[in-house]
Amino acid sequence: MKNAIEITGLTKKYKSFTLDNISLSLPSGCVMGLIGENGAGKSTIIKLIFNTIKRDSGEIKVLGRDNRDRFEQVKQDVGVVLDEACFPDCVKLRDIDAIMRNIYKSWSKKQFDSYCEKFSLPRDKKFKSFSRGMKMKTSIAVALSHGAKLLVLDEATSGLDPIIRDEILDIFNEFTRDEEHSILVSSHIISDLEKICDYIAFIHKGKLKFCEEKDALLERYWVIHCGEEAFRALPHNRIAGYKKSKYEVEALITDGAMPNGILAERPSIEDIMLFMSRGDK
Amino acid sequence: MKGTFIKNLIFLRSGSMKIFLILMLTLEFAVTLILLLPDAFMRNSVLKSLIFSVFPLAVTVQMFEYNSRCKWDIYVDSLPLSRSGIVRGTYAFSIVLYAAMLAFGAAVYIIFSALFLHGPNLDNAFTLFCFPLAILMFITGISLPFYYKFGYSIFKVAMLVGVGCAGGIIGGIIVHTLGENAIIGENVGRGNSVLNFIPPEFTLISLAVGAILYLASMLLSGKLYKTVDL
Repeated sequence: MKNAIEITGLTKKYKSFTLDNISLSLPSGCVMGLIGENGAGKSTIIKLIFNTIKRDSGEIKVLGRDNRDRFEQVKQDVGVVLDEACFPDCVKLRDIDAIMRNIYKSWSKKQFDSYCEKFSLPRDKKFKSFSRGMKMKTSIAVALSHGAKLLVLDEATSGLDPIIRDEILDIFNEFTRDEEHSILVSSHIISDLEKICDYIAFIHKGKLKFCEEKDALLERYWVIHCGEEAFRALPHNRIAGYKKSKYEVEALITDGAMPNGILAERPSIEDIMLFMSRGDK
Repeated sequence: MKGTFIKNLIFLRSGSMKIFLILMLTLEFAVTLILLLPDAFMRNSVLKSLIFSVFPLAVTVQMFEYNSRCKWDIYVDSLPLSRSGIVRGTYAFSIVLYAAMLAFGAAVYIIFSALFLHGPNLDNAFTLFCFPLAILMFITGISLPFYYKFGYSIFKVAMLVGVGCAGGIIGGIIVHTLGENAIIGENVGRGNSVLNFIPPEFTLISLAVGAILYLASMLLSGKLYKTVDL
């Protein structure tokens, strides 16, 4: 299986933050969710993918090609939605169509119009009068209207109501039915990621904690609730994170034999992220 | 390049009402001046050259502020455009805007002089078009590489420096033309245009220098494009 995105040893140093030696691969036909707290480095990775900022070291390949080698040709096949819609306030939908027609070789006005219709975007209003949700929907319509093979979405569903979000997730699901189509999506709304992602990459303070298949990840861990004593009896190497309160200990542990009398349940992706980033361990 | 050019054109069109109002005000002012003081209009092209050159410069600066504010600069990196293409689109748009506005200014001068005065002086019309164009290319040529290297805030400072340098150059040319003992303020105060002090050969030389600087600046901007993180 080819990789749509391949990142190896990616490092970027700032004065107060370092994105440290990130390596991950997004196989073609799959959806990968980038999760992590604010400032963890998710948007930095996306900016590095597009060369908006310069890396200190490492390699990035997008659709099989190094992103420093005539990348504008590769970007014809990449659709992007950033955390803010970046069109000038003065444009209308027909202006966006005119701009993009001159940028993307395979721009489809028909497809763009159909998405605008689907998202109920007003044709005669200027971009500045659009709500945040409408702006994001415009960006999504643009990203989907030029035959992209890869979508990169940075907080694309934030600011949208649950009904629209669900509609958009359906569109993303439809997009990945084609085996050549892949999505890299960073979002704070982890429930959305759980619905569409095949892989989850968790970035914490600039470091990659894990990057693996969602189903395998969910099957690997248990959340247990137990007393202090039962918790101490657990093998230390099985504990991925825990939270102690006055009355009980809540812990994320790896799969394996469960001691008697311990209440265990399967975690959500959000549980795993919270234990690993905020837990006492 | 075409996509960036079209985007800038759409930005310009969005301010078309503002442009139209400014042009109408200028025309109205010119007509009043002709009716009241025909000689002063003939001599004083300061107003015309100022309005028709300051306005496109202001539009260019506003466009960059806009790009920076709405994060178009970041978004454009994700689009299939080469860095040199992005830069070329901006330079092409700026020069077209400058030339269009100055051609309009020269046309206004020619038409009004033909209608209300003793006929246009074509040398004046030539200077009115070419010299401010050279100055605008000089100012933009100096400041745009700073935009592509350091971003909008440093660009603003560079543009102010460029305006100062251009003022110095114009002053130098006038002193050279009038002689060291001439009092520039007095001449301008009498209603003589700054442009009237500029001999045609200086206009041609400055146009050539401006064009070379503009092209060199375009190549440099393509090389410098975001080589530091903004």
